[in-house]
Amino acid sequence: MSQPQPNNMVLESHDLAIGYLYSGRLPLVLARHLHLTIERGQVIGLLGPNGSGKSTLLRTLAGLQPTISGSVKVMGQTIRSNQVRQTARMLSVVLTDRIDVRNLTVFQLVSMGRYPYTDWLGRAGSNDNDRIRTALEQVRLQSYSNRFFNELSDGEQQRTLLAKALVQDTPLIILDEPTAHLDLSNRISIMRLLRTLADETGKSILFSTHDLDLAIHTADHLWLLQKGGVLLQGKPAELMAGEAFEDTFRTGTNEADQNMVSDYFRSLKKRSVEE
Amino acid sequence: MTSKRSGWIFAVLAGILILAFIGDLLFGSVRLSFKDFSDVLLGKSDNQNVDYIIWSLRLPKAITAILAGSGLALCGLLMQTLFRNPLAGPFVLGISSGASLGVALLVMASSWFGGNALVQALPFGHWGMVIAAMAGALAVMLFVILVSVRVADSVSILIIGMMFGSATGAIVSLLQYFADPDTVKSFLVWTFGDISAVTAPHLKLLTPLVIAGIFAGLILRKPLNALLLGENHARVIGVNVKRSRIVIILITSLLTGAITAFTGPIAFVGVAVPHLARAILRTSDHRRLTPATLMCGAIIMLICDILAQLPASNQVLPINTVTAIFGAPVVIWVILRNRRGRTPVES
Repeated sequence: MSQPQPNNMVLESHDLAIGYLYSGRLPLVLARHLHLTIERGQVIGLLGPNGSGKSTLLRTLAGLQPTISGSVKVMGQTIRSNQVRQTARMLSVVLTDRIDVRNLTVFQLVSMGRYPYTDWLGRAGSNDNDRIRTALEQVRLQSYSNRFFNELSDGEQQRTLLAKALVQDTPLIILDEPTAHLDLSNRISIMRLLRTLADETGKSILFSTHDLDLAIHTADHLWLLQKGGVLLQGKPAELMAGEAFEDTFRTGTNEADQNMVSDYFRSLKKRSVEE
Repeated sequence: MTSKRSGWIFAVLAGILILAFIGDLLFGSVRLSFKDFSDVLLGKSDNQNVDYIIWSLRLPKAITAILAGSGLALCGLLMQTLFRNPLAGPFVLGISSGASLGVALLVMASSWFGGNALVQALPFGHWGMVIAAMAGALAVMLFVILVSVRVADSVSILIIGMMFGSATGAIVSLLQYFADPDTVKSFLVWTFGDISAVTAPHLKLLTPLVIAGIFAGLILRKPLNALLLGENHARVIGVNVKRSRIVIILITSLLTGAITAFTGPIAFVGVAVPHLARAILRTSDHRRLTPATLMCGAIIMLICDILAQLPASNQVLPINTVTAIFGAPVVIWVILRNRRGRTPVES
């Protein structure tokens, strides 16, 4: 799906406010005035402390929950939380919710990504099957087709879900903490995979994570979401040059915790300068 | 799971279904020879009694067994997938409690107006029970659907349905507490379930309802597969979760309500049969699981009905006891055997 778009823009948010609407109560607004853009082939890492609203932002961009105000457009079309079918053709989402189904093979699960395109029974045609095989190769699970999903390791499960997002054939893939619960080698492998996919397929990828180091090395741009709703964006190196990371993550209540965060970033910066 | 293997399984299931259907027509309190039976089928029988037994008693009963078994099993599958809970069954939303309340009210009310005999003497006979049960089920069903339109998540619907079922059950208990023993007994007999009370005129209403419900259940197979992953995962691949949920609840209420109204609350089949079908097919894919569940439900119900007649005198066991006593060990065996065979190490 690489139809030419003016100025290569895949996602644009205009004066977006995110949060939760309640009936009979004031809405809880986590961040407002967000002007975000994602270009074709870009990898964006979303970082921020717990409770800053990372998941809320991803869910809002993905149309899984309504905006408080403002708009989100993907490929020039507005995302609406009540139009799931249209949204599923514009962006795919990899969620952290555990899938606990017995007797479901990797192939069957990946084929679910074709849901927006298959007939009433969900039968995959030969074209769909080709796409599924290609996606399994891309995430290096080609020999896993007939394995049961619930018998895979966490890393393999994550790659399976990524393959499902790939066959959904959308210009944008959003991943909510794809490296959570994974060991170091799997975290690195997922991040490298995201980078490679973006470079090779031209898809844009937005992921949230707590792995600062990996995000800095993988992403083209970082979004730092602070508690209180300020979002800083820029290239990793630019953000490293200033105090952006310290400001975002120095959320500890006592001074010792805050100093530790400062020390951590000082050493991180020193290391990246040496590299 | 190859499609060749599932082709075989469906062929075998179809064979068993036909055998069980013939068996259910053949066996009963009046012993028929196979010749009597084939004569009736070929229209050569000159024995009016045998003719009557087959066409007016056993055929409606066998058809009811198929409708009730497959319909309740389908509802169980729908509820288990929607709530992603292996213990869910057709009655989790409180629909059988609603039907019970309707019948209890009818039975108790008629006893206040001059004794238990009135229930039998009602102008409609069995229809009185059916209409009362239908009204009760419908009331609960409307309530559950109203809730599912308003409430955003399935777990809340499940809990609210169960609470409503408990409350309705408590009212039934209260009615029983204040009723005289004879009335209580005639109500209890209804709760045992009875597929032989369904006659040809009843079937004219029950059959189209159940077939419509089953047809709708077959159409839903694609979203059901997606819902297996969980509601959020289903949403992001383009499933309108709320609409699917309302349709699933609507179909379940319709099927369960209609079947329960005619046969009384038949337990066990709805919860157990989907597990049996999963164990046999070794798949969670509704494209095959749904037809297999329908067939297994019909088979189990027919076999249970044959077993219910085994005492061979004119005593027939209540169908509800048979389904559980004979069915539960079979299902436990199949599931245990299947687990051992497939996953040698599971931790």
